[in-house]
Amino acid sequence: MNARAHRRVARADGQVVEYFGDGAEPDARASVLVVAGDDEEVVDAVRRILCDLPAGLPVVAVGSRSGSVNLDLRGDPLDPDVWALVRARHHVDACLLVNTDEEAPPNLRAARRTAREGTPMVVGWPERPSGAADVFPEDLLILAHPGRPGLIGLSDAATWIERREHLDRVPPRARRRPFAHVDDVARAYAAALVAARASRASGMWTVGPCPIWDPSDAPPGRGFFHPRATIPGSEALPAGRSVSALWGSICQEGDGT
Amino acid sequence: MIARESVAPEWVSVGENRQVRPLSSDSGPCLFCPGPGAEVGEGPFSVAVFPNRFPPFSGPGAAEVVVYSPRHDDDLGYLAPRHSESLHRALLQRSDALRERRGVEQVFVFENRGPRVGASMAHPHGQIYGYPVMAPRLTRELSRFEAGACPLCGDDAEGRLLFAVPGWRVLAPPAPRMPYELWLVPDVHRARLDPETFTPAAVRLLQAAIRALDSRFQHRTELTWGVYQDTREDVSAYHWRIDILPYERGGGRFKYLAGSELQMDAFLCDVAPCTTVAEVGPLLRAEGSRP
Repeated sequence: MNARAHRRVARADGQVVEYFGDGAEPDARASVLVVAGDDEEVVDAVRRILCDLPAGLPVVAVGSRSGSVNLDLRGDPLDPDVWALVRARHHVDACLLVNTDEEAPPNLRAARRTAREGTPMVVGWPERPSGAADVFPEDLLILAHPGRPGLIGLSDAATWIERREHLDRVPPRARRRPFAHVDDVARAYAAALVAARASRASGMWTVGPCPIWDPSDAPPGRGFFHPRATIPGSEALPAGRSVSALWGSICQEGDGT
Repeated sequence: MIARESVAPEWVSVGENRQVRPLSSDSGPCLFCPGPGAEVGEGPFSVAVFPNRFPPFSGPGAAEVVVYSPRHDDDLGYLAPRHSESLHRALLQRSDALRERRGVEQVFVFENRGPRVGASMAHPHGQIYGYPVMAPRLTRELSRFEAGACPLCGDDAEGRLLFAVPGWRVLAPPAPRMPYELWLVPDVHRARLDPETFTPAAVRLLQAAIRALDSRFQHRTELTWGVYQDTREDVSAYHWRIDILPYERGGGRFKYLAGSELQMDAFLCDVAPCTTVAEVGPLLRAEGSRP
């Protein structure tokens, strides 16, 4: 068959379906990593870690706040139309959603919807959010660090802490153990991306023990993926390898960009 | 059943069979993604066309569904060029086939893009209706075309031209029904889709226009597009075109068809053609210039 193929096939119910083309056309869409949240520091951090990767993905940031660093479009990340357009324009490799406490229920609903629609989704969250059980399906990986609640509100809290700004708005848990540096955010993103790519075969993930990021293990300026716990469905994740190496191996498997 | 008004010349197709047609919000797998039991069968395919299980016409007439791609997220505006060639062939061939079907008076190719404008299934798809009676809008337009010189051939679109490529113009109509309304008009006067005017480049132009509107609104624009054509005779005064009718006014505001439009068929539009040219024109030129 080729692009000019045309054939008629009878369905089980007797209706005839006409097929044009054989579906072999390449996907015209560019591969991207979508980051829900467009705050400049977050996007810069993601870019930085992606520069460390041999086959960095373009980053599309979707957010409703600053909007100034959007590469492609801007809009409310909760708006299903925005998601639809992102997916229309791009082949989304993974979607990373990182939120503040206040935004939890609506963003989790968005995460659930997006995951159901088939987009690989990783949620950055400090712990299983209280009150989220009703909206959080058992089909998402929570990227979390139980000992480092600084993952709360990466897009806001980490930046605020770093700048010593808006501390009254930083959740108390985050204030007690502030996020070390925005690079940690970037590494967390990268780890999440790797986890997402490695787990793509299963499509969805199960809530459970999750890969833990331990910056103390990471050489300066390098990402380091440290899965101390297993992720159901992704036990094959290699342990203790650098993000770059992981990313490279994924690319070599033909799943890269 | 085609029901006739007693006080006006318009007709309405009435049928309760469509009340039970499936929706994307229903549980279960997407019926337009290939697989066992799917409406599209199991493939492989680039574009699939099949009869609508819930046709709007009983008796004469036809209704077909055109699924653009086996991939659930593949929107028409973003199909690869080779893929859109398959779509071009599908539309041309099916429009021709329905035109020759007994009891079909007019073939209307269109898409409802977005849930608020009537897309019951999220998987992007178009439709082809074979109306058993000519649609009221086309009837009214035909009377204008038959009354004298072709209004499209004679329209220099001064101040309303957004973009032109060999054989085609994209213009803002002088009396838009909907905000940011666009007309794609072939230069050559033909009554209906034919291989000379409806080329793969025409589909790419339609794609570019859709992408330009998406860029204007920064999300997936809710719109309808449709092919206006006279499919009855080989020779007709009509000049076919594609109209794109967005339902969005910008700033997150939606254009609803309300009292004046629905009750009196009198459209009120909040966006002037010059605004459409200024805001969408540069985006369309950028999108239309992409290889």
